[in-house]
Amino acid sequence: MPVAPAELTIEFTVAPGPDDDRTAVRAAVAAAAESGLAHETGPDRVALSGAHDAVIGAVAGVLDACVRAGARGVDLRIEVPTEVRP
Amino acid sequence: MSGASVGPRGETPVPAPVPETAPTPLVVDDGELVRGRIGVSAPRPDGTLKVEGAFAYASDLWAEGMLWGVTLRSPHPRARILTIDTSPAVAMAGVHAVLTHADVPGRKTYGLEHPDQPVLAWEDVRYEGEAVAIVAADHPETARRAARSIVVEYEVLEPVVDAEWAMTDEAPRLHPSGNLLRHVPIRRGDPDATGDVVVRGTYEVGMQDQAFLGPESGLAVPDDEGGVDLYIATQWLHVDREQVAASLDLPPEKVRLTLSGVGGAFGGREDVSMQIHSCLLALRTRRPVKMVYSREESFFGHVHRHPARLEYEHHATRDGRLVAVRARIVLDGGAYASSSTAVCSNAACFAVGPYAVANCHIDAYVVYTDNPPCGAMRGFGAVQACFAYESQMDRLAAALGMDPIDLRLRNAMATGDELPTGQRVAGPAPVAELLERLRAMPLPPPAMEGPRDVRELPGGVSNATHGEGVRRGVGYAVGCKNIGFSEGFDDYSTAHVRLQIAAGTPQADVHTAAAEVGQGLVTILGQIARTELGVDDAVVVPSDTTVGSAGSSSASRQTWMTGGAVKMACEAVRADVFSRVAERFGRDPTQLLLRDGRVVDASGAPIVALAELLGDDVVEATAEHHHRPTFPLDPETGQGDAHVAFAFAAHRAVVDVDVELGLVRVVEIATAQDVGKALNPQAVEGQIEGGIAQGLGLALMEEIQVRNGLVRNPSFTDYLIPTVLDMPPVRIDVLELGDPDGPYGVKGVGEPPTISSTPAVVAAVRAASGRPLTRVPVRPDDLVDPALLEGSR
Repeated sequence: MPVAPAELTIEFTVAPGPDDDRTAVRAAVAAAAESGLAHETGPDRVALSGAHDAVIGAVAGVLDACVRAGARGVDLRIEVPTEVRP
Repeated sequence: MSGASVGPRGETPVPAPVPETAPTPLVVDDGELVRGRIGVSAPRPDGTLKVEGAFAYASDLWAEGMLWGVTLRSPHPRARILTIDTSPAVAMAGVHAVLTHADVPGRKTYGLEHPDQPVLAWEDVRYEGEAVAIVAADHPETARRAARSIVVEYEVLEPVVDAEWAMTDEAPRLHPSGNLLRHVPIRRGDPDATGDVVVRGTYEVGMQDQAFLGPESGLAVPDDEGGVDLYIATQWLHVDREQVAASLDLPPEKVRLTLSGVGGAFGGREDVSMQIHSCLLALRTRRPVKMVYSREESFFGHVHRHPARLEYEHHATRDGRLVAVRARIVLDGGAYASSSTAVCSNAACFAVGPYAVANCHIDAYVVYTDNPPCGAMRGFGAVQACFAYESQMDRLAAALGMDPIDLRLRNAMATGDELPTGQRVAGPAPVAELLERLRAMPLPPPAMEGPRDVRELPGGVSNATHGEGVRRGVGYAVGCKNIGFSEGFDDYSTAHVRLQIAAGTPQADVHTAAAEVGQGLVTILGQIARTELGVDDAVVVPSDTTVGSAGSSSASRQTWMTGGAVKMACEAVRADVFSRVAERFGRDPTQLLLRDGRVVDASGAPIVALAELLGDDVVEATAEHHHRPTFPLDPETGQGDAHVAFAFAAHRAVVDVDVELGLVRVVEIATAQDVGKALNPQAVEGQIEGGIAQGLGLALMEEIQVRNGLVRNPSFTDYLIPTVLDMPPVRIDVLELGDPDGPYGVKGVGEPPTISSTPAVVAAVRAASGRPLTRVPVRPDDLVDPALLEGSR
């Protein structure tokens, strides 16, 4: 791996809406996909992974999309790989 | 560690696993004693054990009460999982755990660059062999039967298997952000520059396997506090730990990794395989869990070399000066990212090879498909490019009516020249010297007239020919590649060194997390410690995560990076010793030396023995060695100082080809390579010969056959690798030009032999057969004159 891993990864875990379907997580995935940084990371999850500014810039869109799609809640998990730092 | 005693059967438990056959506990428990200073061919401490079959590989690990882990994998390259019924497996006697994605407590995906690969698939499977469920049982066969009993209902989908098509809008999206993983454009000079002579070519490289002989294996041992110890064959302990801890939802300090015996790696162990799975099973069952892949499973358990399609256009003046190179490179990344984006970058950076070219227009792409995931393999993107650009150089030489070496010499890069990325090559770039030395080497004697020993002929003892239809060919190639991590990665390694008196003798203990994967690193680190501290005994203790990261055993970087860290730590220890001498004897510490276990003055006169000076004291130091910063490539132009250093090698191949049967025998390979400084000449030769074997394999036989996403040859019966019968004598000329940035002037040695050996062999086969040979590996069908084939029908 001669280049650095993604500077920043933010994973969204989406609590489904009242109907307990996957509408909200699908909305989150669709919004994340528009950023070009999206990776599915679980049945109820999507992650943005890439350069710091690009990831931060895409966060609001993903949150907005899944909340508007009825998500009851969204957990964010932020990972910065230790191997890129001394 | 608790919860299980780990050790040889029937013996007192010891703190770390040892092989079931318990040959010699040297490897795991005591560290490895190295004798010999730098510059000499110190013997490898693991050499005799490996030759005798007594070396403890990770697959030999054993622990009291351990269970066996097995993986259920998808039989489909692309499908949607509808249901997973684990109940038949759970009900089976002897089964202790059956886990799916729902049992992954932390991050459900992993990946070196992007976390896009499921630990266990939940909805989509994207390649044949993707892990779906894991089982732990008290016997490996029970675990296998249990895994087979799990019922997975799939909706099978048509796989996306063509990388070019995967980039189009018609192809289904395999990942949310689309199928294009990375595009690296490089724009340099005049985009419209043209030459008097133009040659075009399209080349293909097949999917090569690392074919390491020790399959993926490891042993996870849970502790009483929710943590886990993992004994593992890997290339990079710390990045494994980072991914394992994230998926276990544990802090890193609760996941401890120790390197076990590694049976080769070549990039294939840079991604995790069974690391997370074995830890999940161990933590669930609260028992040690061992996982060992079979040979067949190993083909599905690690990434491979990217298959590539490369379109090239070379423009030159009539006297052979390269004017412009245009290239379009498409790499098939397979189902998941692994280190594909970096491989793509390398393919672009080294797309024109070790030649000075003012005008370059390069586009490299890497794409998701439903083929097996591809990632790191020795040469890392430079291999695919080298086959194409060196084939082009031969084609250009033919078009110009020039000698192929003269053409290369006319365009050879030298120190101070720039890559297509605009980066100036600051260190030695002896491309012309390597070629001249190669040309000066005598050729092997010509084939004898009349009857010949069949062992010297294509087909060997299969008695395919007695010399009729056999033609000789000679081919040349030269290549280059970066050393170390690139594009802004803060590349570093850590070493801890202790100097103490053991049984009255000074001894240096060296502790790093660097992975000895067979390249001889343990020997080198010991040699450095002995040299720097002037002692006879250096013990390299087992690598683990209790010391800082050493980075990966890849990118030809460990001697440079971890060797540099050991050197720095030794220098700190030495400074401490000298300060003690200064204080006790009033001597100037800048005028002292360590020699033969004593402190001596500049004239060599002894001052005090280390044993007397230190007594029971231990002098120790930890050092981190960073190489100088590198920078990302500009995303629009591909310009930037992305690499820290470069290595060069040239190869000449002589082959005999049976043009009637399409059989090849490589008669000899000669090589010239700048290694900077040969710290251990025998190890250097070993790396060069091993790398050439892999290059020869890619040229003539090694390819994972994938048809519609399905691997057709996952065995060493059907996936052919060179044996001792296939390897010719290797004539080696080592240059030691000394890189100004490397400790002792070292350069990386491991990858360059793999890069240009492939096109050299193919050039020789081309010369013998007269066939165009635009794809590797070359198949017998490619060699036989179509007129002959037609005539035989």
